Amino acid sequence: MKSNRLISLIIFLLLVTPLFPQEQVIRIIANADINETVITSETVRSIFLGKKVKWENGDQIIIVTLDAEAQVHEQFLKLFIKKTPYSFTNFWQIKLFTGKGVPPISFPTEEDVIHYVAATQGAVGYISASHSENDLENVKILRVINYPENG
Amino acid sequence: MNKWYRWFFYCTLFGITLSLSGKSVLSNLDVHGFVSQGFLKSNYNNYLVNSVDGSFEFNEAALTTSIRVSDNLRIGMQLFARDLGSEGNNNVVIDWAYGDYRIKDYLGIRIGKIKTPVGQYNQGRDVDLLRTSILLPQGVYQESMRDFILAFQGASAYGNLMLGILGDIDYECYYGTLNVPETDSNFWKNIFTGLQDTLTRQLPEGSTASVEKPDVTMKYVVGGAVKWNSPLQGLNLRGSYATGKLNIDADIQAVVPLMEIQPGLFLNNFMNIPLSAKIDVQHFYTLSAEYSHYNLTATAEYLIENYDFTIEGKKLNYKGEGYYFLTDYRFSDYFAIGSYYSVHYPRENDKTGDYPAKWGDPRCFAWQKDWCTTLRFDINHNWLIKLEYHLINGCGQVRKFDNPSGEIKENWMLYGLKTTYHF
Repeated sequence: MKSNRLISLIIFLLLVTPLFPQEQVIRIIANADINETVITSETVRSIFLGKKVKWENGDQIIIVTLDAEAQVHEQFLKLFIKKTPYSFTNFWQIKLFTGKGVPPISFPTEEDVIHYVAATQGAVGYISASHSENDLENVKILRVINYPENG
Repeated sequence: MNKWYRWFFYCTLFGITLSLSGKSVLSNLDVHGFVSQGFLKSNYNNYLVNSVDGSFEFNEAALTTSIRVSDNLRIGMQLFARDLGSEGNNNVVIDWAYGDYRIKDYLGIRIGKIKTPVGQYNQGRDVDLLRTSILLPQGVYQESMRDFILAFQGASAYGNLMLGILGDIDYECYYGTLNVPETDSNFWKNIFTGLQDTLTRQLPEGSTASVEKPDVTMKYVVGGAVKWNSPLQGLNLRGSYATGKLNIDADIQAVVPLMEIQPGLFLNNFMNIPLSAKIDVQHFYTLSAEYSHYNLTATAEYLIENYDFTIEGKKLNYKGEGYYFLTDYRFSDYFAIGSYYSVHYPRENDKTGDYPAKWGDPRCFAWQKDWCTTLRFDINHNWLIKLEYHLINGCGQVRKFDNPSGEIKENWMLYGLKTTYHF
């Protein structure tokens, strides 16, 4: 009897879990001038790996990251890019020393990232979910389709 | 380039390092660089350097700049100097320099001197900080071929194609002419030594033959590379292909003894034969697979190189083969370990050494099998040290002219130590 109840509980939990969406710990932000309001997680990956370089309106995409030591940077890379901070840095160093690209600009704090994105046409970055859109001026939060599960 | 230029280069590099610490001078100008110094020691067989005695003639330095001229156009250049035994001698060269015009995500154009997209590592082969090992797997990335496949002058088209649920594809195709190594380089020395040996064997006993005044012209090179980033995160498959033509003009000087006038004194016949040769690179292709999952990377790569030599109308075919399996794991920001097994056959159809044995050379010239293990320590974000151990069977890439005593061992070991500072 006890085991039947346990099995029922497990089945119930499995059925109910998808009803509670996973908390989104990272938000993708961009300069308010771009047309996009929605972005897929695959596109986020393409952007931060330098494969997608243009927005819909033709603006050049300018990538901004947090410094390698920042916890939010590590969370972002794990979720969206599937790389460690070390392998992400190494990826851009390969591009740099073979002439295929220049590493993204990085800042020590999320406030620096927000200010840069607000002031730079085509800029895109990420911040923790503790910031709400009301706090941001000239910056939009992009809604992410296929938000990745914890990697 | 003389030593004053060399000093100027190093002083500039050092000055910029101190003053900029990797930050850009202007908002859209980037300046970066690196300096590496290595040491190689083997128990037998001089390899790449005078390794039996141990050699510090193993270093690289580079200064990279790039500037975004407009939204679509970026120009950049890398100055580079290296020393590897008798190669490089720290002469400063332009490693790559080009304009890069990105029209769309799926199409960009590069024009200038461009790194050749061959295999996983060719484009970054001189940049020690980009990998765990000191020496790249020589089964595919032979040092003797480096100058020949490193970069080309011409144009390339590249881009990224999104395939939806099938992942995406990075591609690059190119046309131009290769940076043919100087005729006194070890690359040609190796080829001409082989040719001289072959010719001498055709002549009567006691004769000698030498290749004089060689002139090499690359007519063209064309090729491409495709990398499929599969939907399975971290798995990519890559293929690269190159083909081209080059002409060699040289004089063959042969000395053939006609008769012995008195003991030890010969009447010789001196012959000077103009030689015209063509090398058709039928194909030079690589296939590879790489899987990376956070701190773990595993790579396998296969190379086939196929050349037709046409010497005075007579055609000879040469086909080499190589492959390796590599894995590395990063334990933390400070420490990584890597290992690979690399195999190279200079002649794909002779894996047991029948060809060298036919000419009285050791059979082990027909292969080189290398187990390598490397420890990498990143002292901080800018400075690293590596220790490496190779257990090698065979001497397919050991050059005879580096070992004039003729004492070649089949089983040998090579140790490496290298440090790199980058910014």
